[in-house]
Amino acid sequence: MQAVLSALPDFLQGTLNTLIYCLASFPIALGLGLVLALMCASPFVWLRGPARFFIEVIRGTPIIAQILLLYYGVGAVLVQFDLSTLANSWTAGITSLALNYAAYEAEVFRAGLGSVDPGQNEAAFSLGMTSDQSFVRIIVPQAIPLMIPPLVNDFIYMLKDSAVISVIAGTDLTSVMSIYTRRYSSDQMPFYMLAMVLYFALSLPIAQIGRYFEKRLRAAL
Amino acid sequence: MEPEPALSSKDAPLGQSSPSAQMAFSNAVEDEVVIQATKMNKFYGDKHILKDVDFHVQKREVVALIGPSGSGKSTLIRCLNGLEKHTNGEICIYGHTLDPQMSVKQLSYIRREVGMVFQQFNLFPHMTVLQNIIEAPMQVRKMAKKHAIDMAEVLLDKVGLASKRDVYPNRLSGGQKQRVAIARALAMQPQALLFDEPTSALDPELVGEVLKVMRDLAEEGMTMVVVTHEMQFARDVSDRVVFIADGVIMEQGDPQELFRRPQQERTKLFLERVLSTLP
Ligand SMILES: Nc1ncnc2c1ncn2[C@@H]1O[C@H](COP(=O)(O)OP(=O)(O)OP(=O)(O)O)[C@@H](O)[C@H]1O
Ligand SMILES: [Mg+2]
Repeated sequence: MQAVLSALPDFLQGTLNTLIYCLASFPIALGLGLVLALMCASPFVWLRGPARFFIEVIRGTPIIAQILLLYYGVGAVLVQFDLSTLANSWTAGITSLALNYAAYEAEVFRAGLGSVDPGQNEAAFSLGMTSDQSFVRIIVPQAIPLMIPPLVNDFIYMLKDSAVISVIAGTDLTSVMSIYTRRYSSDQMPFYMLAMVLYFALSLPIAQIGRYFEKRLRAAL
Repeated sequence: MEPEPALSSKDAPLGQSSPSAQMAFSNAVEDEVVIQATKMNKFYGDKHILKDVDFHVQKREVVALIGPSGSGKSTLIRCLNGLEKHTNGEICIYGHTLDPQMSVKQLSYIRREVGMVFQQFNLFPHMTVLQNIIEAPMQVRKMAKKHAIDMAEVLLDKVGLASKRDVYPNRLSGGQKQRVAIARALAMQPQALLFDEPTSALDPELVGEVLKVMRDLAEEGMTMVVVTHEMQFARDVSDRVVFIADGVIMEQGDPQELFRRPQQERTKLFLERVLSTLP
C-alpha cells in the first residue's frame, strides 16, 4: 500500500500525459479524417484512390506495428536529416495515434454526412445554393449530432489505445505502470488496478459530456 | 402509337382564348414561353424514362401535370431545375439553356428563377421557420439580414403562419410545413414554382390549407407547374392539364375540355379511375 501511495504522483502524471497525447492527437485525426472523407467522396480517382489506400492500410495493420515503424523507421530518417529533436516518443506517439484515428474518423464523417437525407441537399440546391453553401450550412449541422456518439466512442478508444505508446518507452499511464510493475515484480496487482481505475476515471466523464452535447444538438432534429 | 405532338415551338398557336381577351386580368396567361423542353429524353441506365418530351410553360400559366405512378412526372419537373440531368434534348428556362453538364454553381442562376416545393417538404430541421426562409436569400442573393427578415414576415403572413416564426419544423403539422416550404421558395423571388405532389404526404384534412395558398399564388399570376393527384385543383385552378404516361406526353389542353372529352384511350382510363371521387 505504501508503495502504491508513493507511486501515485507518477501515475497521475502518466494519466495527465495520456490525456495530453490524446488531446493532441484527436484534433489532428479529426482534421485529417475530414480531408480523407472528402477525398473519398471526390469524383476524381487520383484523390479517392490514395485516400482509400491509406484508410485500408491503417485499418488493416496493427497499431503497434505502425508505432514501431514510425518511431524506429521514421525516427532514423529524421536523425539523418538533423531533425533528431523530433525523433522522440512524444512525436511518434502523437503522430501514430493521429494517423491511425484519422482513418477511423474518416469513416465516421463519411457515414455521418451520408446519413443526412438527400432531400436536404435537393432543397438547398433548388434554392440556388451551391454545393459548398449546402455542405456548410445545411448538411454539416445536421450530421454533427449524428457523429458525436461515434466520435466520443473513438476518443475513449484512443485513450485506451494510447497505451501502445508504452512499447516505445513513452510517458503515458501504461508506460508508468510498466515501470512500477517491473520494479515491484513480486506485487504487481495493485499497480495494474491503479492504472485501470485511472483509465476509467478518464473515460467516464467523457462519455457523460458526449451524451449531454448529443442530447442538446439533437433537440431540434 | 405516337402521341399527339405537343405544342413546342415558341410561336405555335396556343389553343386557348386569345391573350388579348385575357389581358385585363393580372393573372392572365401571357403569350410568352418561359420554360421549354424540346425533344427531351431521360434514361436511367437502359431504362427510357422520358421519351421525346416537348413541354412548355407560358408566363403566368398554371400547368397541372397528371399521370399514373411511375410515368415520369417527378423526373420531368426535376429535369426542369437540373435536379435530374436529362440525357438529351433542349431545356430553356427564362432564357438560360439548361445543360446537363452544368455545375451546381452554374445551375444556381437557373434555380433562382424557378423554385421547387417537394412532397416531403424538405425543410431544414436545424433551423427555425424564419431561418429556413431567410437562409437562401441571404446566402444566395446576399440580401441584408434585416431586409430578409422583413420579407420573411410578409411571406409568413401570406401563408398564415406569422405566429410560427421562431418555431422549429418538428413542431409543425404537415400542412404548416408545406406552407413554410412554399414561403421559403417564394423568398428567393422566383419567376416560377415547381410543385412535386405538394399535398400527397398530407393528412386529408390538411390538404385544403396548402391548396388554398397555391390557389392564391395562381390568382396573383405566379407561373406554376404542379404535379398533382388533386384533380379538383387541376380542374379548377390550372390553365392547362398535361397528361403523361410511360414517359410520353399523351395529351394536353384546357382542363374542363380534357376532363370531359379525353381524346386518348390512356387518358380516358386514367381519368375514369381518378375522377370518380370528384364532385
Ligand atoms: N434514380 C432512379 N434510378 C432508376 N430509375 C428511376 C430513378 N428514379 C426514378 N426512376 C424510375 O423512373 C420512372 C419514373 O419515375 P418518377 O418518379 O418520375 O414517376 P412519377 O410519375 O413521379 O411517379 P409517382 O406518381 O409515383 O411519384 C419510374 O419507373 C421509376 O422507377
Ligand atoms: Mg413523383
